[in-house]
This record gives sequence, C-alpha cells and structure tokens, in this order.
Amino acid sequence: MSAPLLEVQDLHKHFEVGSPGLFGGQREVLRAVDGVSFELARGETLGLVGESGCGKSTCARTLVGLYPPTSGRVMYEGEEISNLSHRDRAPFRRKIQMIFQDPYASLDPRQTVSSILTEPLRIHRLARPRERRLRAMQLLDAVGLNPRHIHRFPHEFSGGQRQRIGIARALALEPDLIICDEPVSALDVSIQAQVVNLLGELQERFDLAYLFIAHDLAVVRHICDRVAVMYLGKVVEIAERDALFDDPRHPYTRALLSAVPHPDPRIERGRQRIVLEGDVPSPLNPPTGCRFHPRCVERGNVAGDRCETTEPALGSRSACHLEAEV
Amino acid sequence: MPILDVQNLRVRFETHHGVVRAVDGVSFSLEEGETLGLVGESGSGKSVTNLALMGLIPSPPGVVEADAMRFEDRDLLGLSDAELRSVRGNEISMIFQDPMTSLNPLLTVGRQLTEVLEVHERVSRREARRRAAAGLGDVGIPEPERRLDQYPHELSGGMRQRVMIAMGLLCRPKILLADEPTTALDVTIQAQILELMQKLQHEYGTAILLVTHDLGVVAGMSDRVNVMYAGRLAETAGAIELFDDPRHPYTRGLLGSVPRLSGDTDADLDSIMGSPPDLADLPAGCAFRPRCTFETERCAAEAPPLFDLGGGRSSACLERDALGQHHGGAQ
Amino acid sequence: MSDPNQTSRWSIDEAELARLTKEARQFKGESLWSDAWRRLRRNRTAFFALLFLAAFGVISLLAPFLPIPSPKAISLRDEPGTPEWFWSIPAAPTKAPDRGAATTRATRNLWNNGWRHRSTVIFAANDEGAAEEARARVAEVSARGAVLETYPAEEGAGLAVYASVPMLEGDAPEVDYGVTDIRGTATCWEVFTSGAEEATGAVHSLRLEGADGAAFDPARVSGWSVEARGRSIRLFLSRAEARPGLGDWVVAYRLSAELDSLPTAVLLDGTLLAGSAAVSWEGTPRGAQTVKAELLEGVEAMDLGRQVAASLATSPIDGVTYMEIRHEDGYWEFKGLVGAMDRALRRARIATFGLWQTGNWMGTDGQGRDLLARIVWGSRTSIIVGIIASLCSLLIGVLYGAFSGYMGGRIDNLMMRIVDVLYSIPFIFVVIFLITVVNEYRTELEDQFGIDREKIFFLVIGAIYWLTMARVVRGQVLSLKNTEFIEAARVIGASTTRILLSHVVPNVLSIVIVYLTLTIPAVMLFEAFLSFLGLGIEPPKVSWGLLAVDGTQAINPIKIYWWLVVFPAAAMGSTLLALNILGDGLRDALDPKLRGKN
Repeated sequence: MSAPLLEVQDLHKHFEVGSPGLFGGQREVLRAVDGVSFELARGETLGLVGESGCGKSTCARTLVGLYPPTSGRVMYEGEEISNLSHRDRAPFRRKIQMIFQDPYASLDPRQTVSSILTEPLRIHRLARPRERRLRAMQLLDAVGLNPRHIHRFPHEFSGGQRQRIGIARALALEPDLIICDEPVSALDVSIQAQVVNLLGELQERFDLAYLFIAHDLAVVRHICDRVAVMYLGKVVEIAERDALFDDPRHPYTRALLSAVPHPDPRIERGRQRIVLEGDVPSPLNPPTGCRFHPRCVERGNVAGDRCETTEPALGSRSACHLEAEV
Repeated sequence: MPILDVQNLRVRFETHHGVVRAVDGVSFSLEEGETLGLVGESGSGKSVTNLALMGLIPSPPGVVEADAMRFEDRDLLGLSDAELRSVRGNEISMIFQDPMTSLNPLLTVGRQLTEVLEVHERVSRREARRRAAAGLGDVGIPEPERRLDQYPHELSGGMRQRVMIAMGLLCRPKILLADEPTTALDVTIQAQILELMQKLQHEYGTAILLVTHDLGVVAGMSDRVNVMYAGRLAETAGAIELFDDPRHPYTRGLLGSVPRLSGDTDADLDSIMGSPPDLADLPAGCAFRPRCTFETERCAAEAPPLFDLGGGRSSACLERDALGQHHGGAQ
Repeated sequence: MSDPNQTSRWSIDEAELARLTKEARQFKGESLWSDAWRRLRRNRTAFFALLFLAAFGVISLLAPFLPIPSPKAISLRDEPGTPEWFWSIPAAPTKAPDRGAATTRATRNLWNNGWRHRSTVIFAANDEGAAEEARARVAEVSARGAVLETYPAEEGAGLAVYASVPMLEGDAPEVDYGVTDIRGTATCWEVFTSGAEEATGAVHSLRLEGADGAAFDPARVSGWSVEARGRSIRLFLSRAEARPGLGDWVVAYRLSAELDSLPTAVLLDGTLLAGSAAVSWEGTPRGAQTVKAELLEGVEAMDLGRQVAASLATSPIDGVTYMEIRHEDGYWEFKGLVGAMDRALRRARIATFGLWQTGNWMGTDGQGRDLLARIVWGSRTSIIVGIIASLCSLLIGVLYGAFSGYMGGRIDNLMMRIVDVLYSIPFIFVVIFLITVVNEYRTELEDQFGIDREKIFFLVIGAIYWLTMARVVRGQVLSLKNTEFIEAARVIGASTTRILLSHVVPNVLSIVIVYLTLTIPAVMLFEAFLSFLGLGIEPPKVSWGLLAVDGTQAINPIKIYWWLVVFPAAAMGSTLLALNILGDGLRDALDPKLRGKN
C-alpha cells in the first residue's frame, strides 16, 4: 500500500508567551497543538472542527510551514517535510497550498489580481513569462470570475469574489492538497454556498485533497469525507463523516452537534440541547487528565477519578474513557 | 396594540459617492413578549434598522425618516435628545455584535453596569451594585460579586456577551434589540446565550428584535421573521410558515444555501448566484432581479411592493404565487 | 520542478497561446502609478502645489541662466539696500563709469553689485595719468567699458591699478586638454640672492622632448603662466600660422607635488623663456626638487590677460607694467555634470540677455548682495539637502525598518536598540566634532578623497534622518506582518526579500510619503540651524538657513530691514506648505481603495 498523501504524526506546536524579562525568567508555554495525528488520502477531504482556540488554525499553519513544529512529523507521500530548509521545501510547497479565512485581509491591497495570481508562477518559475498572464486569466475563469477583471485591485471585488481570487492563487501552483482555513466563515450565507460548491467542483476537476478547517459543523458535513474534532490542542474524535454525525461517540462531539442550530423551527423547538457549562479552559494551563472533564456531562458515568488523572488515548475513534470501558 | 410600530422607515446616507439608501420603506410591528427575527445578508439594512430605532444613526451623513415610529404611545422620531436618552438603555436596550469592543476596557464591569442604573433610575450606589450583581447572577455568571470588580479583558468572550446581556436587561426593558448577539461566539457558547435569552424573555416578557444572518438561530428563537434584501423587506411571515413555504425567491435561495446537519449531503447547495448589489447603485425594478431565477419582464419595471398574502404573511415578489406552487410541487 | 516547459493542467499549445495573447492585449489595465497620477491631477490643490514645486525646482536648476545679479559679488556698503521695483531696471552697461565719477543709481548698483563675473587686469603704474591710459588700453583690447580702481602701491612709489571689465566667455583661459606625446621632467630651484636666508624666487627648469625624441625648441614658446597654486604651469606655443578664434598651443605640465615657491622664471633646456624675471644665482642651486611632469596638450583661445600683455608689448605705455589678470566668477562652480550644465546655461544667458540684468527687486543684504539671487541660489542647497535626506530616509530607513519589523524577535530587538543608541547620541555634538575634524584635515581630505565639508554635512544629515523613518516603518510592518496576505505570500514560497519589497514596502508607502513630507521641511530647518551655528553651509555660499540668519540679524531696534525677513520666509514658507499639500495629495492618490473615486 502506498503512503498516504499527507501523514501527520504526533504533531506538537507550543508557543512561548510573555516576555522573558531582562534577566530571563520562566516563560509560559501555550500548547496550541499538542499531539495531533491523522492521515489524508489523495482526493479526500478531511474536516477539522473545533471551537476558537482549539488549535486548528495553528495546526494548519504548521502543516504549510508557516510555523516550524515543536515536535512530531509531517510526511508528504512518505517524505518528511516538517524540518526542511526554505529551499528544500520548495517542491512540497507547491503541492500543499492554503486558502485563508478573511477574504479582505488575505489579498495584498496594493497588487492587481494579475500580479497576485502570477506571483506564485514567478516564484516557482512555472510557465513561460508571456504565458503567465494568460494562466492567471485561466485561473480566474476556473474559479468563476470574469478573466477581463485581471487588472482590478482586490477592493473592487466583493467578499465572495475575493475568496475566489484566494482560491485561484492556491490553484496556481497546481497543488495536490489545499488547506482551507475557515474559507467560508466570513462570507454571507448565499455566497458561502457558492464557494462551498466551487470547492467541490474544483476537487472533482483537479483531484484535490482538502484539509477543511471550520467551526461550522453543517458546512463540514456537507463537504468532508472524514472529520476530526479538536479540543484544546488534541483530536478527541476522528471518524467517517456519516459515522460521526449519525453516531457521535465523544461527549464533546455530541455537545457540539447538539449546539448547532437547525434552520428549521420545528426541529429547533422540539429538541433538547446539551448545553455545556462554562468556557473552554486556557491552553496555557489545560486541565489535568482528560482535558474535557470539567465541562463533560458524562463525567458521572466514569468510575473513579480517571478523568481527572489519566489522559484518554485516541482509540479507534474517540479519546474518551467511557468508550474504552464499553 | 403592538409595543413597537414602525411604518415606512427610510434611512439614507448622503456620501460623496451618491446617496446610499440603506433602509428604504420598511414597516413592521412588535408585540409584547414576541421575538421578531430580522434576517438578511450584510448590507441588507438590518443593522441600520436597529440603529435607527435606537436613534443612533450619525447625522450627517445619515438621514432617518418614517411615517411612524411608535413605541407604546410615544413617537420615537419626535422625541428630544434628552427624552430619547431616557428611553434608550432603559425601556429599549441593545446588545451589540462584538462583545470585545462594546465594553469600555478601562472601566470595571461593575462600574459599567451600575452606570446604567444610576443614569436611568437614580438609585443609590449600593443599591445599584446590588442589582448589578443580581443581574449578573441572572445571566448565569458565577460569583457575580467578584466579577463586578473585574475588567472586561479578564473575561472570556462568552462571559462578556453575558455581561452585555445583563446590562441590556438591567432596567427591565420592554424591547431588546439584539444585533447579531451570537455571531462572534462559538457554537457551544452560542447555545448557552440563546438558551439564556429565551429564559429571560419568559421571565420578563421582553420583546426581542433579533437581527442575524444565521437562519438556524432565527428558526430557534423567532416567532415571526422579516427577511430583508437591499434595504427593503422581501418577505415577512411566521417562522414555521417561512421555513416551510418561502414565498420570495431570495428566502428560498437563502434556505437552499444553508448546509444542514440532516438530509442529503452529496448534492450541491442551491446557492444564489451573483453578489448583493451596491446600495448606491441599485438595479432598476426589483433589486433581487439580477440574481433571481424567477425573473420575468415585469420585474424590471418597478420595485414590487409588499403584497399581503393573508395569515400575517406578505412577500415583495410578483411571482409569489407561482413560487408557492413550485415549492409545493417540489416536495 | 522549475522547468517552464513542463506540462501542466493549464498548458496551452503554441497557436492557441499566440491567439489568446493577442486577445488579452486588448484590455490593458491601468497601473497603480498612472492611476495615481490621474487622480493627483484631479486634486486641484495638490496639483497646484506640484506645479509650484516643479516651477521652483526649474528656477533653481536654471539659476545661471536667469538674468539676475550675482549672489556672491559683494560691495562695501554698510547697510542693506532697499528693494527696487521692477520698472527701475538698469540699462545694460556698455561703459561703466570710473570710480569717483558721477553715477546714476542704476549704474552704481551695477558696479556695487558687480557683474555676475568680471575680469580685473592689474597693472603697476607710476601716476594717475598712466593709470588712465592703462584703463583705456584694457577697454580697447576687451571692446568693453572698463572700470578703474587705483590704490597706492604697497611699498615704494607708484600705484596699483585695477581695471575691470565684465567677464565674457574666453576671458579666462579655457583649454580642452589631451595627453600629449611630449615627455619631460621639471626641477624647481629656489633662488637666493647672496647672503639672504630666505628664498627670493624660484626657477623651474624643464627638460622636454618631442615624440620623435628630438629636443624641444624653446623658441616656439611664447610665454608661460602659473595655475592652480603652482601645481600646474602652462607653456604657450606659437602657431605656425594664426587662425581666427584660436589662440596658442598650450602645453601644461602638472606637477605631482606642490612646490614650495611659485616660479618667477622658467628655463627650458637652459634657455630662459619669455616673460621670466631676470634672475641670477650663484653656484649650485639650493633646495632643488625634481618632480615628474605630466604633460597635457591643448588649444586655447587667447585670453584677455595675454591680449593686454601682447598689446603692451607692441606699443608700451610709459610707466605702466602689466602684472596679472584675475577672473572672478559670479557663481559657485559645481563639479561634474552640474558644473558642465551650469557653464552651458551661462553661455546661453550671455547669448540671450547679454550683460543685461535685473535690479535688486528684493533688495540687497548688508554686503550688497542681491537677495533675489541669493534666494534662488540658496534654494539649490535646500533642494540638495531635502533630496539627500529623503533618499536616506527611503533607502536606509524604509528597508531597515521593514526588515527589522518583519524579522521580529531577537533581530528586531537588536536593530531597534541600535536605532535607540543612535537616537540617544546628541547629534549636534557629533556634527560639531565631525566638522571640526574635517576642518583640521580639510585640504588633505579634499585633495586625496574629494571630501569637503559640504559632503560631510550632507552625510551627517543623511545619517540622522533615516532613524525616525525606520521606527515608523517598523511599527507599520509589525501590524502588517501577521496579516493573511503576508502569510499567503509565504505559503506560495516567496522569499523574505520578495515579501519585503513587493508586499510590505508598497503597503507602508502611503505612511512613508506622509512622513517624508514632514521630513523634508524638518531637514531644511535643520540645515538652517546648523548653518546658523556655522557648521553647515559656509559663507560666501548661501542657503536658506544662512538667509534666515541674515534675517534675524537684520532685525534690530533701530531699523528693520523687512525685506531680509519677508522674502526668504515667504520662499521657505510657500515651499514647505506646497510640500505638505502635495504629500497629502500623494497619499490619497496612491491609495488604490480610492481608485476611480473623486
């Protein structure tokens, strides 16, 4: 069996926060990503969901090389890429691209669409120079924009159109994997649907794999093949899409699913929500044992103090003591 | 008699680049204890409507006009600044979208809460503090006495939004204007806040005008829903009727655009094509026409008025009846 | 992976590519710059400011062409002259009056203020009558009116006679040199009269040989002259046949070291050349210095001094001896390209206006120098200072700040501490120290490295004015560098340099421009301050700072010379105002968010 397109093994990313002071001192360590492992096959879409601060964006940025990982391995088709130099990483950089959350901040306001889209080609010396402008126009066409708008500046486009430009930029290098960091959460509902559809269409056309990061579970359900749920820097549950949505195993996944409002008043009024207590704890000082235990509604069903003392391992599906017992 | 009655509200901004009609002839009313959802995309005028009700539209460049804007038996448009201030935050209060920026970072939570009471009810400082603590307790904040002495940055996002709600409800307002109260929050926190708002509404009988773009939130919270598009009402209906049988192509499109947690996942979402129009340069006729799949020649002639469909429903679409049949046939 | 011809999912075949390229050419976008220019033109105030500054720049650039008086010719007046209105323009001089003769105001002014450049032929004369004859001779030879000044000679009887004419092209010897194939050496002897301790003269003894190795015929040399503080001596070689417009052949020997004393006589192969003093020496000459002579050859127009000397040689005047000629330029000569341009402009001025020049429209300062001319010439200094400070700010400040902010962490810390340290140095002391050191070694520096005080002054200004810019830019970059578009550039593999130059710098451009428009006035004022302290531009050169100094000195309780304050202040004020307005306009014009608006 050939190696998966992307394999992440026990990835950690810690940040030191606060200033060390003049004579050095203890700096606090923020464990943004704390032991994340998953695999992603060619053409597959893996959803990464969780609340803000759970480390999903940090994870994405570590994968594309914006941050060096603290420890752990990132393998692309069996080759380790996490510790490569800027130069050695170049060929892999082409293969893993990223789409950003904020369509207003992710495009350089002083560059025309033409130079935004030809820049990756220029950097990687792809296409002949006179061909590049045309390539940019092809890309615009592929994401459903008018190629004649190539000389415009980003602010002349609406939010959804800008996000399409962001997608075209990622496509320019012909990647195999696109990491989508909340690509639709800043968009209006009707535009969000357009972009979700476009992403699906492009996946089919170019055989792309997506790592789709979102906090909106409904969007994830629509677009992903498999879903991983993160809580405080760890994956608490990972499963096939239908399995996860129909039969969530981890209490956090269940709470998360139950919290999503349905756009249907009949369902919405009749159902019983699991409302979690309190807020997500600070990743500077995560709870001992199972990180979810202070908010967990199943806490009473686990015998003894294992939840407080022992960290549950991510078994076949979820990281919960309850599942291990069953 | 409705507690709030708005007839033909118009808000326009006179800018260098032309007149922007942010709200153009919106009418609605709000009954006591009712929740009215105001749905639309960004730029549809829903937040401006809210601000206009609070008298918070900066002028210039903003100009607010209405045939009537009646709160109980008072005309909000005719009130002096001082009278408006006594209504604002007291009888009508507002929750803003961003809990990070709507609290003053330099004042303690307690100071900001008691200020509201001191301004509107002229109670003693001790009494104000007691009631502020009680208000924080009501919105489910543990150890309210200790929280009163904390600064906003010491609280989490969900906690801050609760403080905002506590502040909004402190004077037992008759109307709560909630402008995207949960958009900046995570789903689990959103669930907490929505639960809380419903609970408090039951207890105090407050009418809520809920402005949001999230159809899920509207479905759970609202009794009736107004859908806005490009500064006008596109459709108004009871929540269940609206979601079951939308009578405006825009509403239909919105409902089709939302991915769901149940049902078919392999089909594409029924997105609305194109983007929302520039309010300074609206298309002639129906503003939704360029994005509409039901467009006919008549649509270009004039902006359709809001047609009464009976049963408290209305729709601003010339093809409203065909739409209903079409939808029915599809099911 | 970097093979541009590899197949990709977007590849197009050659014919299709040609067709599409042709089609794509049909819709060209507007670049950021052309759009900015278009919008700047629409902004009426900013565009007017731009026109004003451009006009100012042109005037300052064309200063040698303008028919204004000399900015440096002084007179011995003891108080500033009032402005004269433009209708009292003096007539062009054909014959300037002698000193002491009745003068009109205009001609007096003309004399006092000087022609922008004049040649003065100096004679020794026995009496007044001979002096008058000498003046007439100069006027005759130069075909211009000559002005006479006589002073008692320093020692003994007789008079020193200064006959001045307006300098025209060709009065001063100007030779285009080329390397000749004549080779030679020069030896300098110091000459002592018997028993004297100090040298009383110097003899240069030359050995020259022509290209063919043949000895050089001394009879061909018709005269010689000393140039450049004795470093260069010219021999004038008579032509076989006279040609109009051309004077003598010139052979100049440039010595590789400065000699202790100027020659009073020149020997060529043992023959005393024409024009040498009669010297005699006994025994072996003392203090002999032999240096290699670098020989240059050229053609020269007969200069006025030698024409006068020649005229005196053919028909001598009793009791008159020709001494020397001095050429005084009305401007400061710039070196290099600017100097060449200035000379061309001066020729153009004489061709266009002749000797006509304006009166003192803005009055004169305490030394009789024309204020208008000084404002115009002073603007050159201000412009240079402004340009240098802007360039330093832009190149050093922006890149330093952008790099520091973008790298962050330790590097940022270190780089910013360096800026802090530089900031904390009291620069005024550094300037004083530097200028003092430079003063000490100024001749060495000037001769060997071509570094003069002005260059040090500009260097110091450049060294200070990037600091604030670096801080401002760093602050901007810190807030920029975590934006998603910078991250996006890193994801597509852009190098740090590329990110800095094509994403970071363009995005801080508007703040940079605003800051520049604040820097330029500040620098102009700093220049004024340093000049005020005597550390900047040195008199007789002029800058707006020095004019401000003059202005402050002109205010006294007895009499206010308002024009010395008002006109320089108006010039400086209007320029700074225009700069500010232009900066505002540029900031708006360069913001693509405002594209298509207004």
